[in-house]
Amino acid sequence: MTDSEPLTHFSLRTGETAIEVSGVTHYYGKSGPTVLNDINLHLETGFYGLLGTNGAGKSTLMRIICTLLEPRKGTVKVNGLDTIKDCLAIRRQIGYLPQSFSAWRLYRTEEVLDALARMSGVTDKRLRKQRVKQVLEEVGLDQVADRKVKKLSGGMVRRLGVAQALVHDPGVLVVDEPTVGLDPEERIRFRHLMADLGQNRTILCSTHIVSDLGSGCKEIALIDDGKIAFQDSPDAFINQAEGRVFEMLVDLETSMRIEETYEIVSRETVDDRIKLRLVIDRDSSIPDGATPVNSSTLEEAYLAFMGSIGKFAAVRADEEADLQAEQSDKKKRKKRRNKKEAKS
Amino acid sequence: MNLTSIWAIAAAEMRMNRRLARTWLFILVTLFSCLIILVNSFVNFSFSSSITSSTMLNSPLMIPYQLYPTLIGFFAVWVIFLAFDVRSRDKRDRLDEVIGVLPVSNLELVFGRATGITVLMIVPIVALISLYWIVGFVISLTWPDSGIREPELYVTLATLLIDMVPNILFWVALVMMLTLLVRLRVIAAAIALGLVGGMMWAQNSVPIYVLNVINTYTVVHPLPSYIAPTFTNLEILPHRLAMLLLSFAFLCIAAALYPRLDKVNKPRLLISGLVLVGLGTLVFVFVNLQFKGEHASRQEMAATHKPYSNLHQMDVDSMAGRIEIDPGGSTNASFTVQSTALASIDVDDEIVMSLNPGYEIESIELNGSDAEYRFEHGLLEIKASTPIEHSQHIDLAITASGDLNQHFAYLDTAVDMLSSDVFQAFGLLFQGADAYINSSRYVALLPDLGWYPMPGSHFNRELKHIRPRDFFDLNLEVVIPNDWHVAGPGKGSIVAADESRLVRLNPIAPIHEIALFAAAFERRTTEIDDIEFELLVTPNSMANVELFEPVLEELRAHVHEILASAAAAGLAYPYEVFTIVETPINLRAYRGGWRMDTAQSFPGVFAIREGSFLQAGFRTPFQELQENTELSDEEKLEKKLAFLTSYFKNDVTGGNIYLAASNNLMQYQTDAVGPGAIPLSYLINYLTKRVSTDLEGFYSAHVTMGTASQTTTQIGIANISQDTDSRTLSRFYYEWFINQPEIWESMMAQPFGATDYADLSNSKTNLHTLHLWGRAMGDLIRDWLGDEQLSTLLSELRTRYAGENYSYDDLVAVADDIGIDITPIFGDWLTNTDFAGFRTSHVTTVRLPDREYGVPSYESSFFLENAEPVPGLITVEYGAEQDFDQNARGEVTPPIKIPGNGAVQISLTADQPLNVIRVNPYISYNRTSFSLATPNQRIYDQVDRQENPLVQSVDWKYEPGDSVVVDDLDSGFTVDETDDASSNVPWFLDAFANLAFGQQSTDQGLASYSSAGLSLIFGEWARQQLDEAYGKYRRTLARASRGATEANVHFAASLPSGGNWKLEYHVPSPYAMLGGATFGSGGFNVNIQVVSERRRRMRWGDFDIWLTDGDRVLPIEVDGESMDEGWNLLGEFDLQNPLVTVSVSTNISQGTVVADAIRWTPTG
Repeated sequence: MTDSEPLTHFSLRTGETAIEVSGVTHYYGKSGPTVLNDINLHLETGFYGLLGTNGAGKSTLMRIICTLLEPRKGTVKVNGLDTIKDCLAIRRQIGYLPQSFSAWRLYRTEEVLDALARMSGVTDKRLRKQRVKQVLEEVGLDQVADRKVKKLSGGMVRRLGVAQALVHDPGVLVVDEPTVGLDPEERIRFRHLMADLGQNRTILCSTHIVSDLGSGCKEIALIDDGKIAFQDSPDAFINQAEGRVFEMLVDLETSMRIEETYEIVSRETVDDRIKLRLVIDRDSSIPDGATPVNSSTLEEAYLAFMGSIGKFAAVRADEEADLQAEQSDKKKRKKRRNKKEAKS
Repeated sequence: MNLTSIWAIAAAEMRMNRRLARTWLFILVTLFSCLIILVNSFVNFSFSSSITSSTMLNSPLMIPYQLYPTLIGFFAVWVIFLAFDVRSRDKRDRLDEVIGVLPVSNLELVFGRATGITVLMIVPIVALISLYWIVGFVISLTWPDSGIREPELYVTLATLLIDMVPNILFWVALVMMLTLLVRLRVIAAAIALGLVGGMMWAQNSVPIYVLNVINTYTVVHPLPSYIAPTFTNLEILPHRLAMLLLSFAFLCIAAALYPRLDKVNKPRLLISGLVLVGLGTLVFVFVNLQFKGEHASRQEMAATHKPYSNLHQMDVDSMAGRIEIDPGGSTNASFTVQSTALASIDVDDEIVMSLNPGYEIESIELNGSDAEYRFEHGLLEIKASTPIEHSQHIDLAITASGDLNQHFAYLDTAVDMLSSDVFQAFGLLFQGADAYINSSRYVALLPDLGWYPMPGSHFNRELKHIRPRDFFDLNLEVVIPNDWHVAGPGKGSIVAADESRLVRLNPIAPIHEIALFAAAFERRTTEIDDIEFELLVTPNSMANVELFEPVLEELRAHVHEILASAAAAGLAYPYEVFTIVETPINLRAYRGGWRMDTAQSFPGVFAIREGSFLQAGFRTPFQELQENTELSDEEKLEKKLAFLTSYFKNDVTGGNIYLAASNNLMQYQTDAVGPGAIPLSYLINYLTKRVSTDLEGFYSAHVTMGTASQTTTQIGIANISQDTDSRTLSRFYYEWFINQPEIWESMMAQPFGATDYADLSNSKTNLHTLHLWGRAMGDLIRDWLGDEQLSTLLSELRTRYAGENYSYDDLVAVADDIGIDITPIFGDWLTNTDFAGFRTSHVTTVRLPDREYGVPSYESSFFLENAEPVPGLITVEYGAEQDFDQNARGEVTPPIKIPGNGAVQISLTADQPLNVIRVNPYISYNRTSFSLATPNQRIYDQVDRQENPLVQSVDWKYEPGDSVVVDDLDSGFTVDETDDASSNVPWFLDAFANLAFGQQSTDQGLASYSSAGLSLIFGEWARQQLDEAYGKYRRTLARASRGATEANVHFAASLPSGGNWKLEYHVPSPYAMLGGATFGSGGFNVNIQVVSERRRRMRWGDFDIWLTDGDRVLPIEVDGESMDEGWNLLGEFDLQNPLVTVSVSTNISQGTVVADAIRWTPTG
């Protein structure tokens, strides 16, 4: 193996199936509610997005693909290997960032990567060192390589998660809610990174933050109540929202009235008036003064889609949860900071 | 399994654990503990190794013995705290899913993590041992005086290779499995700790042959020996294999239970784990069977021999033969035994002998013809083809060869290590576990191994009243490697030396047993009084020999003095050579039977144990001596010699060379037989020791195997003196362990004629009773007869009975023949336990006319009554207080005989008033010496007369007049029965006190402690011996502290009638009770400072006392603080009944309550 060669990376020719999910059904417990119901997916090289509200079954599907769970029904093949029969071989070819990730608190950043790379089969010490350095740079953690994990910020830990999933240079990368806790800049950076990596890998990224997927996303699968509700390119996803995203410029009073009735995507103040972008359910009437938007965003398309299946509330609940989590994080950080200051 | 993956996981786990604070805490705690062991060993070596061999356990030689199990034990527990949260740490660090997708199987994951923790814990062990090795090696080169050297290689390697990995891995694997089984890590850790606790509990509760199996660290472990190193044994190896199998099994089960997808079929993994559990258990069962088999084999041999133990068919006259020693190989032997039949043996009856069952008998000839025989479990039954008449000669020729079976030795041992508990086993292990050593470097053939044919069975040989000691002549050829020497009875003359060396042992006097020790010894000899003194030590042990070389002349003079003194007493050393031979530490140093006597003393041979004198640290004290400018060169040499002599005098582990040598003077020449043979033998041997060496000596395997002996030794060392023979460690041990109420009670409970020495369960009490009686009686006889008469008696006894046995009647006859009547001393010693009992009056002191040059003269006199019909003997020790310091004693009168029911007046004259007078009563109901209160006056009455003779017969009786006294030792004194008071004491304090100060004994039903202060801690009524207390013979009192167990004591008095009576209560001064127990006449007054200062300021509180007169209960108010020493009036009472009881409660306001004695005196 030369320095430039991938480590455990199995390059895929375009068009070659990397992940094949066939008829996967799953439920927890003996007869618990069905989490996944007859899921079929076909992923080739590229960056794929798995959308859905919290509890839709995204993580369960990811864990099944990553060999962490055995599906009750159906099969999953990664690079042609069955997740049950060939789980070890698949694990060699897969990188996984779980939704909830941290690392050994007492390890240094580079040590985490080194240890995980070694356990993932990168036995050559020199190569491992090189690879660790490379991924640290890729995720922007090279400056904190020798910092202990317990001293990293939440965003840094998330990036470390991405790094660990990449460190053994897997052909398939599965990332579950990768941008939770990242600031907007990091999210952009992450999108770019995924787009780059997706050039010669299969990346499956699960998220409920639609903007994470970006333009580099080859295909989007939307999962709802354990079923694939949509699977196509981002453009197709945006197109399906045509005629349901509107824009209007109103005064404050009207704005408040509109906001009570419709799903607002964004609001902007323009010369004492308020510019609203809203998504309209199929059954709702178009408010007066609203003009259809020609090019809606992925987020709007997602809202529009969810609205079309009556899941606005679920999306808002996710947002609310995110907000609360963020606030809670902030509070915790502030508390820690105060404590530190008091100590010092 | 992929080893690379396993190692990668292990490396990650190691790094993880390295970062945990607890890991370093564990390592530091262990390091600290090891450091304590090392420092303790070093300090002990520096300060006490030159004093006594009793501190051997703490010597640098033994460091591995203590250090290695400590290291492994600590880390085995620590791993529980590292392994119990391996998975939960993953969860806490939110890394469990990442680990879940690692390309490793569950088995690899589990094995990797277990390996990581195991290696992490092994590294410090290896590092510490390596450090110890390097430091030891460097110190041995640069500072040899320290005694520290590199640890013994074999034991170290065995620890590293055999003990370490299985012990650590086992606990890691077990905990990892438990965490998956019970899910809750805390419960898993608790279960593992519970198992550790269970193991510790088992140590106190199951015999060693079981404990060796269920303990992860085998208790019976070879000791580190440089002379005959032992790597491991065949029980340890399979035991460790079983542990490894179980460890793998636990890991397989853990992998099967691991909640993670795996390509391996989990049920199959689980089954594999269970199969391994089965296999491991099978190996454990095998080990258990091996231990049990060993144990059962000994029991079977014992059962075979026991029925014949009373059979005494023949008296061996001589033995000749040849034994070929092949180091590490088998033994070839041929013997010719000539003996005399002691009973008629009919045709087809068997002559019973014993011979080691490891031999295969090649041929046996009886009186020149091939004989039929049966040889099973070492019992050799030779069929007589023709009738053998009483007194007829029997010639036996036996040829045999084989690998000797060490389990044949000591079949009748009172305490079998395999059946004992762990503390006893440690004590015994320290005294050597191997009855036979046959290595490439050393061969030891102890007599009890039965390596030569012995008449009768191999059981109860020590019961002298049934099996008299058999003395015979020896002519033995020993074949050894050419560069080896052999130690045995008689002068070893080299007959031939070729590829091997043929040595003939042909002692000039009869012997009763043969011990052979062979190795490539360094040999030194010197001749003193025509006796060759031969020293055989291994080359590495020559340092101390060379150190003492400058005092060789002084030593020769010292030995000459002893030999000359013995010869003058008619007890000349009987052989032409006395050999001192070094023996490996693993060689068993105590014998079997009820007595478990030392196995370091044999006819003509003294075995000096590895780790004792030859390795003791004399260099530092020698250096200090050398630097002393106040001493002349001659004095320095004398001092150096004193180091050597006092070392052996202080021995209590059976390695006292003086006693070993003196054994040759009497008991290896003739021994007692018939009724009372055992006590008589002890007594005669004790007297021989006293006459020849003036030493008492002490050895009891029961004591040295006890946990308290090491602490006792340390306390004892602080109380002994090199300058006087009366303050030796053996004396201290005697006072501490033997001169105790329980032993006295045992002696008084049963006469020797009724003692069943075959009852091994009572062997400790029997032995200690014998020690007590033998010494007291011996000292009495010695002082009664005087050394001259005693020597004549002993000499005549040996002359008449050399090579034979004597009975008590023979002794009386011998004494009679030389004009001594010893029967009054012995009395009916076999059938009753009556002793003399002494009571004294107050001391009066008067001033006599001044002597020449105006030297004042004071006379103190007192009456002394022997209130018992048995005659008694006393001495009186007296002087002014300043005459008594740590070493010096006052003047001592010659022994004073007091006839039964007689009285004397004793008058002591000195140039100043005496304020210390102690009566030393030998063997009597008073038990120990006691002080008399002396008048404390400024001016004494002047009398104008000559001083009285020392002793005058008088008609005096100690009578209390009309008074009725009830003492705490009287039958009228009772204590309410309560629950076990010691249960009030925290268990750790109880355990500590027992461990450190020896178990409590009882004194007439009340607890009695080595240190009186302990009774305060234990919170119960305890009995204390105190000179200031009241007592008819013994002066004791009962005491308890406030808040002790609610138990009342009662003094019940039977008065002649009711009416007006005065009641008095006796108390000593509170100050007098501050001291610890005063032990006998040894002059030791050991006060262990366990009582706090607050408690030391002892004072009487308000005693809660009440009088019961029929139905009346009268409370008596007593202000304890106002009580004076002696009798205190409690009040006058008009009693309605003659039977009255005075009760005392522990319910007092403060301090201590005492119940000493009450006195009723009529006032009407």
